[in-house]
Amino acid sequence: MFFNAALRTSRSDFSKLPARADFPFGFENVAAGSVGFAIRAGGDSSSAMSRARIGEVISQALRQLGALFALALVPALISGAIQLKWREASPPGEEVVLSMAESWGDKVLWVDARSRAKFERGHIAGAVLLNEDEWDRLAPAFFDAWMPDKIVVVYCDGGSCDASHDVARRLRNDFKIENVHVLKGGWDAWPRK
Amino acid sequence: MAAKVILLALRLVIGGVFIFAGAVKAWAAQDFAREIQHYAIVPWPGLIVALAVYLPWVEMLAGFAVVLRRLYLGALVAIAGMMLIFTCALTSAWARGLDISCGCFREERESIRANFPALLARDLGLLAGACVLLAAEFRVRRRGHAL
Repeated sequence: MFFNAALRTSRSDFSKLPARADFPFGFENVAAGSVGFAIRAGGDSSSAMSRARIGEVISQALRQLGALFALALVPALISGAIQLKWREASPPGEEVVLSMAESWGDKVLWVDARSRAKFERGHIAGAVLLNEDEWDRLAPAFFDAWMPDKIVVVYCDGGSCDASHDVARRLRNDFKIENVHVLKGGWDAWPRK
Repeated sequence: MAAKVILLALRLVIGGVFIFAGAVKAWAAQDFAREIQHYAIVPWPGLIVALAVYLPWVEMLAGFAVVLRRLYLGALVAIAGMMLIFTCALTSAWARGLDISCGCFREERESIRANFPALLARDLGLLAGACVLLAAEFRVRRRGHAL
């Protein structure tokens, strides 16, 4: 009903607005409050009309905005229900905490998803550099270090970076490596010695 | 005449960008939720998920509405509002030194820190475009006739 009203208004022709003397009292309330003031004050007719139209255009824009938000709700609810139920962008357990990764001992292959400059400033001992900027160049070095029985743990700067998730996803999708995790907290979580 | 052509082109570009941006994220809500989370602006996980599911559809519908000129004014207000919020979020993330990707389009790998001027220019350009369309439409309607 709300949507129909918004559509009807969007099709209306504002040139058909009544002249000043024909304005119903209710219109003063619907349009901007200044309209009624202008009319009561005996302001210029065209100025009052103009203000009336401004008020009506603003009111129309807000109605349409509401209709747009309401319309978007329907597909959003459907897609949300489907996605949250059946799809998972990150596999369960993709993120691991440091203590868990350390408990895997030598089986872990650390992958540093940060930039080369940051890697050279400091990284987890034994980590290999693999980031999306130099993916093709760095991939061979990764495969030199990787074995099928290894558990890959990718990390980037900290909790607010997503390079590790991107690299983990590419390792799974491009190279079909299943045992890939992301270090929760990233490099920031690694104890400095 | 030239002004009408420019406004039409602007309408199609802005509508197209929003249709594309919404479409690529609409079925990747969890990826988009993570992008929103990385901005560290929204503190409630439930709200992040709701935004990740809802926002792409608003973007897409607003894009279609602008291209098709249905709910046109409302769609332009929505687009201008969203661009304002996106620009503020982008600037805030850059100012805090966050090394995250923009999240504007799903496949985008642009780091905010590395590409801030370009991303800001793009967002401001879209915001300015939406404001121009809004002002043009408002002016025409105020005079009492639609384009």
